[in-house]
Amino acid sequence: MMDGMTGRWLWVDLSAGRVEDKPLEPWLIKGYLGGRGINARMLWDLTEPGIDPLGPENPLIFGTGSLGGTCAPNSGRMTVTCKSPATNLYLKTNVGSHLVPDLKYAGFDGITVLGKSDHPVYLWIDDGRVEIRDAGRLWGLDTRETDRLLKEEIGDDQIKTLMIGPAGENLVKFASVMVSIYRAAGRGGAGAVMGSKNLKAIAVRGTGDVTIAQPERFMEVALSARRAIREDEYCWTRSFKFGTAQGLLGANESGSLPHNNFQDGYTEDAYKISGEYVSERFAHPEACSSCVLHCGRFARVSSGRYAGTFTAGPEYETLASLGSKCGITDTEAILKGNELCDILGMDTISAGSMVSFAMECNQRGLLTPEQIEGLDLSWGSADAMLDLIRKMARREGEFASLLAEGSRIASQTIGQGSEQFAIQAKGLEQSMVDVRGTMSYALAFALNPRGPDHLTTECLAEIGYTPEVRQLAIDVAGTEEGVDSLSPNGKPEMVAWHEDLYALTDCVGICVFTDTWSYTRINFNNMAEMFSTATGIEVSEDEARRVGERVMTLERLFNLREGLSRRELDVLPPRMFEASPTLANGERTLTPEKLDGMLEAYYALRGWDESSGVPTEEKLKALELGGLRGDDSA
Amino acid sequence: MSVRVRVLITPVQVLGNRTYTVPVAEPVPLGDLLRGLPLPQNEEREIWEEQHGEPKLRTGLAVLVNGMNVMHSAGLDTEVHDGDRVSLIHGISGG
Repeated sequence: MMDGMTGRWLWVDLSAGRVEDKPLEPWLIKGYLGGRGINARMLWDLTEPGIDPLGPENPLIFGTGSLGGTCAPNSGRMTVTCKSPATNLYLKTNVGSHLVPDLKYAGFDGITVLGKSDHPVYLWIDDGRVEIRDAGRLWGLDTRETDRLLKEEIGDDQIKTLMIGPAGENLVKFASVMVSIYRAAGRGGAGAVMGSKNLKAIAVRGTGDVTIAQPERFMEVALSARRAIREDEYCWTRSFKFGTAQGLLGANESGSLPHNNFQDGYTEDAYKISGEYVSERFAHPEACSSCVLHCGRFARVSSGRYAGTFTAGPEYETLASLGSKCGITDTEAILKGNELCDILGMDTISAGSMVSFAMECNQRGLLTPEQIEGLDLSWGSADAMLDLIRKMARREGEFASLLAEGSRIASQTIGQGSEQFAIQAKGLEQSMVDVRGTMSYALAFALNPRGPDHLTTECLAEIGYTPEVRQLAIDVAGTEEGVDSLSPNGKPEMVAWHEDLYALTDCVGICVFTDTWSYTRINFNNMAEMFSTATGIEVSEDEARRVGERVMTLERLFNLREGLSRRELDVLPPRMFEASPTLANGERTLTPEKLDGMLEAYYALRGWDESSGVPTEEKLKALELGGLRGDDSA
Repeated sequence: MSVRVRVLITPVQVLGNRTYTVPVAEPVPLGDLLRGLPLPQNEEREIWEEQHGEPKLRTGLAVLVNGMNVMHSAGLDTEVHDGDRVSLIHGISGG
């Protein structure tokens, strides 16, 4: 066994009913550093373009970060990778919890699931022993019941679990993989891929350990990083007190909190869905393994119509997607919606987006009462939100089943101009940031290989919220305009820097929120040092950043190999090019030409062909990706 | 003739959600407007810190005028007019 990582990977072929424990090849570890990187390379090597995301040929890959199971700060993250059924493109979705240490202590850095079982099964990993077990009695159950029965069957309530709910079984295009019930690898429909394989759950018990190559030096770097995050008053205090919704009121004041499906960006009583309000009345903090920040919440409703509701979160994204984006500020109803999404196994961002899309269709008179089966789809209708969540997960009725296909297919089917207000690009619903007010967000969302959201890059530095962060943004952008959020200048540099940082962070398995809530506390240098001292494999700061760029580039290549051009890949929802009444005094801030200009500057900066956005052969060689080409010239 | 000022920075359990309507006869510098707010003493401390004998906005705060962050442009010298919306917030982050 190697240090830091286990050096072992579990291969499961569900078609053949076979499991294999194989070593990870050294070039894969050194070249990709763990988690998201190793997953990306495996997906590339295991697939051909054009495969059906819901077919047995789509591998489902779970990769822990290389620092998982150690005391490196916030290192409890895992990346789930496959071809997305929502976009038919590359998907990585990342999740925290307490499962990562157990998987590593059981002897595995990750799991690749191939093929498809002919009946429902679950995987039981008990240290080095692995079994594929019958899951007939679990099929159809929600995630909470599944977790309970797994623990009962195995006879150990300390095991760690991940599973799908009914949404994953029913191949809902935004079904999530739920980890430990309350954490979601939510985006892009990895839960549907798991469902397509008849794989209901994975249960893990790990009692081994992870050894460290240079323990004294590793502890010095890891503990220093932990202290630095903890001493960052801005970062720690606000995330601990208010969770990810700490910035919701600020987003609202700046006109960026989506309201009524992004028709505007201001909600009059947003206070009721703020992190402050929720934390004061309903929630207390919780954390993933090894986390210093504690941004997670558990929330309980103890009285009223939704009494008994108990849910993780709500995160900022959920409060906005099930809340303001649907015109809803009934906090307790949003908590109920959050609970339903978790137990049914659906991404809250996309689920809320489908509800708000349906509400705008209703506002514009595009739906008949028969079509919506008597639902009241008025803005602010909490009953409609909760009803549609239940129905989409089980595909009850034609309308909910159409919504379960995601907003691209739903809008193409409904037609009548609804494509213009389906807030999606490449088939993924946009997360809850109005990118019209922040040009680096706009560029990053357009470039994100999985679709428009903040989890491949979140350029918070653009906002320059402390003098230190402001200076960092100016240095990275190479211009004072780095902190002018409406200027396109310096934004390609900002996005590329953040992309590389986030990719590296996902490889070593640290939480990306740490990167940008505590700028410079986690950086290329200390991640390289933690990796080197944990594994004994020397990686310099420059090499570490190059790994980040290599992973981003490989993800780009995957999408190009599917035959898509930059005009299909680097896109934003049409509404993002309209003026928002609450941003920049109602002036139009983003045009297709402005985005094109930023994209072309970004391609040039990355060493890609400036007009096609395809990485050049020289660039690929420099990144040691020579021979892998995504376009037709391969 | 007034400006709406929302202060969204202090622990809500202590101070709640604060909104002020400030009368303005003519355009005023943002700094003067903010320094004139009738804030409780503990909230004053959350907003201002003394640097070289001068009150300065604390690190990590942003001031928006009509939704636009003015801290990277004219800052507290920004002129505020009748009907403007001023917001004091923490730097934005999400997830």
